[in-house]
Amino acid sequence: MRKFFIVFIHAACSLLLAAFPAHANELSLEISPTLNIHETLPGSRVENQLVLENFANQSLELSVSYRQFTASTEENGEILYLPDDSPEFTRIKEYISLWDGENIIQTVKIQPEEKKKLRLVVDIPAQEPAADYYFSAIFTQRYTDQSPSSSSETTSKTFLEAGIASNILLSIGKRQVPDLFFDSFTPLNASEKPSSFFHEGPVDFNLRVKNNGTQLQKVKGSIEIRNIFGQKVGQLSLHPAYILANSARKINGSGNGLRWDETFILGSYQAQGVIYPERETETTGVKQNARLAQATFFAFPVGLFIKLVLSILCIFFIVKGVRKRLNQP
Amino acid sequence: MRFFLPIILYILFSPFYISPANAYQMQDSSIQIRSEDLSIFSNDPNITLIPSPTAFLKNRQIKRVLAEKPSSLRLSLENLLIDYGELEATNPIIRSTRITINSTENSRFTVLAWQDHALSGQDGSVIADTSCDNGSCTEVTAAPWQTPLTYGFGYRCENVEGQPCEKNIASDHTRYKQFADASIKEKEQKILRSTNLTNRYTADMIYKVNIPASQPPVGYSNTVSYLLVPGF
Repeated sequence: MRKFFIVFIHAACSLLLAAFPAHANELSLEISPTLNIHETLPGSRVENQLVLENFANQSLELSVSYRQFTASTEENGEILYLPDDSPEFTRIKEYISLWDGENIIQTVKIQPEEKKKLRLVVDIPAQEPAADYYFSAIFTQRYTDQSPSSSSETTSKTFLEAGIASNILLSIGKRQVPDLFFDSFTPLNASEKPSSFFHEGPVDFNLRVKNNGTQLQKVKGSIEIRNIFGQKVGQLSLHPAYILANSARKINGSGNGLRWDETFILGSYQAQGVIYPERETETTGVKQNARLAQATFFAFPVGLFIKLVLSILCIFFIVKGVRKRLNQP
Repeated sequence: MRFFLPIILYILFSPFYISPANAYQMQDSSIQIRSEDLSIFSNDPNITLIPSPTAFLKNRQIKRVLAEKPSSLRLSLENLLIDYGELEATNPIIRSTRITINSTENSRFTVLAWQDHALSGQDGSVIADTSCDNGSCTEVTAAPWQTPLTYGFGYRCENVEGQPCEKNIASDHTRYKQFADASIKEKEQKILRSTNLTNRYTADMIYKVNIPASQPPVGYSNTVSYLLVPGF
């Protein structure tokens, strides 16, 4: 019995050792912040700090590049790299420099567990015309052991390279009056399709907002839901969202604050959405360029109604049956 | 003594195999505002005060810095070399890499992938990208690849945590795609994206290569690049 117990302890220890497999990563790189916004004038110098942290136990040498992007055609806040930089952005790239302390650098070396603070600087000439530029600063690690295989080597391999980016939204020029409008505003059902009839909540809302202006806009907004009696039954706050110049943005779902979580809903509801540029409320407190849209939807808890009717019928027949038995001689 | 030996060994060697918590946290620390000039400072070395963009009012500028925590993204790759060994005809080789992305709350991102060229040997011979069993898979379209007589190089994505794989290659384990080939100007493709379900996303990238008997018996290699791109 004692020997069996010793063997059992050995086995248990071995299993515990096996239960903690190694998850060491050969590369683990973090960047912060991921989004930098600059609204500035010609002749200015803009700086933003970028922090790179190496969580792996190998040192890294990163090359730096800049690539222009536009909003993705999915209009969901993802970016789409342009196949080639525009001539104007090619010119802007000459004004961009990356600093490590007091030195301009072309590559970044990070030791294991090191956090590196860098400065991305854009020196904009005074004669630079007003325009928006959206680009990524991309830091790419190259696999260092890509020595060419000898002609006698017969093994095959794929080398992996990894890169990480931080986005910069640069808007040069005096601020223009925003040109925003609601392109659509609809409630969505559980399948994320526009719907005006619901059996039950929650109800998601989808906004599509267009920025017809030539400058980046940051918008805030809210949705107010009222029932058939005009009572406010829901208030949603839209998470601030950026809309690039000459583009549209779809904003929806709980991730953006656009979910009405009420589960039992009955009757006719009216939702009023309002969006406005964030800048206006910061400076004047007044939403001068607010845009409004309305949507009406109906709700009837069909499932609950059927259950209720069936329950009533069951009770009715049970009572009827009991009465019949009681009345029998 | 024999009875306690396993327990003693277990305790002695535990630091070598208990994996440290891979904590990824945004930490709040103190930020002070000096009332004389409303300048802000922090004594915490972990706090990075990012200069605000030019704004109309200095007070609002400070409010913006306090209100917005910097977002961050982390990309981790389990390994940087995929070794297929010596390839044999009609014997598909499958290898994998685990990719993990950690993001701050509600951070949007995508991961783009591409290859520099098809698997190429020193003698100039090439293992072409697979077109899958029905000849329809490309760098955009996935299709089933199960037959050992279908040759080429391709990949698929398997969700582990957070469901980041693009839906057209995550739907079942038989569907593969080609990597976008930079040497013929194919556009890099999205392979992973945030889904707002979590702050941590993990996926396994599965690489498959299969050659015919007529393929020259040399070593082939290429480079696959992954780029983690935030949204806005």
